Amino acid sequence: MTTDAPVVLGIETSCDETGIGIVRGHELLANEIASSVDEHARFGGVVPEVASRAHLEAIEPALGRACATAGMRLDDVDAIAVTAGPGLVGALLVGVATAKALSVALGVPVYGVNHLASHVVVDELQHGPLPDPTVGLLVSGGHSSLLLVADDVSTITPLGQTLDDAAGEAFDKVARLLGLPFPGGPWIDRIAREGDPRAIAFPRGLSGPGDRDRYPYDFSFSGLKTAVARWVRAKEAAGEPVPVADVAASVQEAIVDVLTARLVAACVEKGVGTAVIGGGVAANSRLRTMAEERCAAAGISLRVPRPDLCTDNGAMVAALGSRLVRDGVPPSPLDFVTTSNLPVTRRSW
Amino acid sequence: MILGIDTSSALTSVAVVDGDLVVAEGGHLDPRRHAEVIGPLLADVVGRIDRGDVTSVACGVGPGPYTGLRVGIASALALGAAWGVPVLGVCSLDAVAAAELAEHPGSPVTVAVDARRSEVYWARYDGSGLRVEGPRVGPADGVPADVVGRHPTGAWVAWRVQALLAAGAVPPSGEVPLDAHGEDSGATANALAGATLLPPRPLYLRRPDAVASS
Ligand SMILES: [Zn+2]
Repeated sequence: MTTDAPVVLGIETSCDETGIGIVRGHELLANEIASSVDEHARFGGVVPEVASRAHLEAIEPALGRACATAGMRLDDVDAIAVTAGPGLVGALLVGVATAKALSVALGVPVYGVNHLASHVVVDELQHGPLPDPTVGLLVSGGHSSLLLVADDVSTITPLGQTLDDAAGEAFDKVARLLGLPFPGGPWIDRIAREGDPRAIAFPRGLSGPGDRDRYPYDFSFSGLKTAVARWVRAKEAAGEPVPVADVAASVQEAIVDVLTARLVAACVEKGVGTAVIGGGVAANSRLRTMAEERCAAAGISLRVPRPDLCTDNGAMVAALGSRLVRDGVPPSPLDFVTTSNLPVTRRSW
Repeated sequence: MILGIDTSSALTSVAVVDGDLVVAEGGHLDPRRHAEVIGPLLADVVGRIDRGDVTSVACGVGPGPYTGLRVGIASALALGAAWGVPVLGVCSLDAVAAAELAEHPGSPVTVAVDARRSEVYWARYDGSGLRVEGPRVGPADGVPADVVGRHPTGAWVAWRVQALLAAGAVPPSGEVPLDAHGEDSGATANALAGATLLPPRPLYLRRPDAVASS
């Protein structure tokens, strides 16, 4: 294997996307995604057993498509990387079993990697090596965390995280209150464009007196959901129509305000000049705009990968695997375990 | 040579068979660690053969507890993709029935494995090894008395595939002749009797527990 530009196949099955990615060094060769999101829509959220079944149906065809797109055979792969956690255990196991069997069948090493670290490192495929240090903001239906990424992406320290709902979860729950389909984020984003973001002053979690010292980089979104529910119910009780666009715009503003404020504060207080945003919520147009404005005003360089690299995908796993190979990190043992709560400080097993 | 995998019970089992011979075999008994142990088991077994001699990969498609079952089938699919050989499924209970019949020729038997929630997956076979009822999932106390409780193994799954191929069975087209949810899918008599190969997809027999939101 050429260790400066290894060909790494990445497998992602932690939630509802079956992702197979192939990279050579920093170069993206293929990123095949099969989503089971439509199967979960009628349940109003991701159903673990439905996701696990869909992964098993989708994974082998996705492997074939990724090889075809990259113009290579599985024999050409130098290493396998797979999401080992955090995520839904039953879903993770489909990818992990596939990765271990491929490793044995092809005689190449396997890396069980951290999903959150992958969300940060994926940006290297689009914008080149990450500066040292970098602050990462990861926002999706499953996670909301601020991370300090240092020592050439080898040390990842959690700065803060959500104390209750993830940001994407907050979007989903509010969308449901407004009668919008699952997943709610894209709908809120679309409908918010017709509304006034200052129409309703929804609460910003952990912004009260004292909170800023106790939870400088944490998030809380459950109070927001409760406030929206109460506001909508009051309107309905008064027999007035619910101004859906104004509610969507105001909720989005509250979520994005908190996320970007914490991101900028972390960069400024830690003396970090670069921020990177990842996760499905990074596709939110208001988050991108506000993050750009606030980072620019604070002299922070902002990096946001394009949407298909922000949502869960195999390329991000391959990107981290490629880093581990190039950094000379030993592969994972073949009996590595899958865990729903792999600490972010561990890049791999 | 056929490499066989079964993970439909607490046993994670991998074997390579060549005719009547077991060339290499390994297993680990633990109801929760299929995904951990499958890696070392595969490495050990594959390390003892010339992988170029493997003509197909056989996997038990259950029924069995889903999480472990998927580990075996995903592994089989990956091996097939990496080596460019077909991946062929058989009902795991059929493999146990074949093993029983080899030891007690001509005896009808009912095979059952643990389905948790005080239920079992089971199927009934006549003295020639044809499945005459099942596979089904249901309360353990509703199952006939002559139950066999042994674990399906990779070797017996591989032998079952070998026997079906020898009898002229063709690899499945991708359709599931036996309904994955245990309901009537217009399956052929052969599929119902266990006389056909199955695609490498789990026989779940239960739909996911999930409630649609209004
Ligand atoms: Zn994610």
